[in-house]
Amino acid sequence: MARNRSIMVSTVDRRIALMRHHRCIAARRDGSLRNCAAHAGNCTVLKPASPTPWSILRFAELIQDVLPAGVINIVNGPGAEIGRALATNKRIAKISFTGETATGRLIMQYAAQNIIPSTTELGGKSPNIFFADVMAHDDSFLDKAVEGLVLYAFNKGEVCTCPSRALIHESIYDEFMERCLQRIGEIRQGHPLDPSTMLGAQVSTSQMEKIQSYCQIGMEEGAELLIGGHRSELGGELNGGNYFQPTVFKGHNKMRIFQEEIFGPVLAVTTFADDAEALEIANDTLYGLGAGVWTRDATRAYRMGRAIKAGRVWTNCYHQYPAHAAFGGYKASGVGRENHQMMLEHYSQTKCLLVSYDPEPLGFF
Amino acid sequence: MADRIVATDAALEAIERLTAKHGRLMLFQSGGCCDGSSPLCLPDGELLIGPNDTLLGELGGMPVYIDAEQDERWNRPRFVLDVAPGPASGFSLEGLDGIHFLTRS
Repeated sequence: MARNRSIMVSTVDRRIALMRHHRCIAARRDGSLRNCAAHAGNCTVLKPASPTPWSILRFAELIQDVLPAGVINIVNGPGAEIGRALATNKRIAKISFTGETATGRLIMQYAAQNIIPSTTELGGKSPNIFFADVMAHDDSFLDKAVEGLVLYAFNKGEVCTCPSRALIHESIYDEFMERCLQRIGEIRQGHPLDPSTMLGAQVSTSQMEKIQSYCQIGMEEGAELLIGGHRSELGGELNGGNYFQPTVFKGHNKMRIFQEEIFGPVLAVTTFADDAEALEIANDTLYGLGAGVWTRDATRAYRMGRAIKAGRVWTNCYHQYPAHAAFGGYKASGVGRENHQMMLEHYSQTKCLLVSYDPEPLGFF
Repeated sequence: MADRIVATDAALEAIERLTAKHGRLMLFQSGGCCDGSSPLCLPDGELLIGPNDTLLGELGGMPVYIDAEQDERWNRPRFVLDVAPGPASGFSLEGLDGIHFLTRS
């Protein structure tokens, strides 16, 4: 029986959190730098995801005067050629992987063959739970909760912890969703380098096709399309770009759009009647990476946080990534943790130098 | 048991081409992060198949597997393997040829 090792982390200033989040996402998609062995004093080889080769190289340029040559090494290229060669190389002492489950299994298999440790982060289908009391007052906390739901839209094919399943108490569903949909409708899509843009382009054409295909699946399995659902035609120089409308479907948790990670700005919403049902739906998934709990009732927040099988339960917040907060998954979301002191432990050996300063023998035999 | 997976002509051609180049292949339907809904095309035997994996069928002599729990949750009676332009970004072999496999229902 697994022990629940709970770690409390208070949240940080939200502007810093957002900056950190952007940096983390850039680093993750481009090689899990936040899980970087260099933090623990090791030389590191990074293989960024092939659709996003550039930003980690830019980051390396920025830090090249800080680190000695050879400490961080970046190899770009196709996974089939480079990933396997790196993962099986006898000179690698520890391997970390962020990606999908089949490759995660391969990585763990290669690590077993070379008898080295591995950690994996393999995605999620994170529930974001809104209890009835979030609407007890019309105040800034309610506004924060609405924002917390809309954070699902912050996904261009790179956010593993996307809160892609929203569970809303049935008594507040209509009014709460009305506020959320209004906010979603105000999301500005545009050029990724324009600072006023809220949602840029999806990472690749194949990612766009995948999102479109899941929207089609959602319609076919009878989910109700509340907003979006189509490619965005932004015109001008962005014409034909990989832009997709922020999308919300209402349905039930057995639907494929609730079970499969879409990895785009697509939210699947359902309702629950009581805490027990909320918990049952939250845990009814292959994954257990992130979760969100929104309530004004502190004891409920603790109860839910303890019972949800996810490595991080954001409580009255979402998507904050302070460096000292452990991050990683239960179940198919992978093995091990990133950030926090636990990350350093993954990249360190424990050595016991057991020294006697007694010159006399034990006196045995 | 009848195969639960079929392939489009284009996918069968790609399998034939890849088999000629890399030898006997296997396909594993992935899940989760990044390219999570994509199948992973590997040299046969590269990924160790366990007792909790399900054989969906064979395509051009290539076995196709999925994790049994994922199969149960996805609840797709049949799969269709297709191929599209744009490289697979993971370890999947077809990515080297600038294409990627995908599964539809």
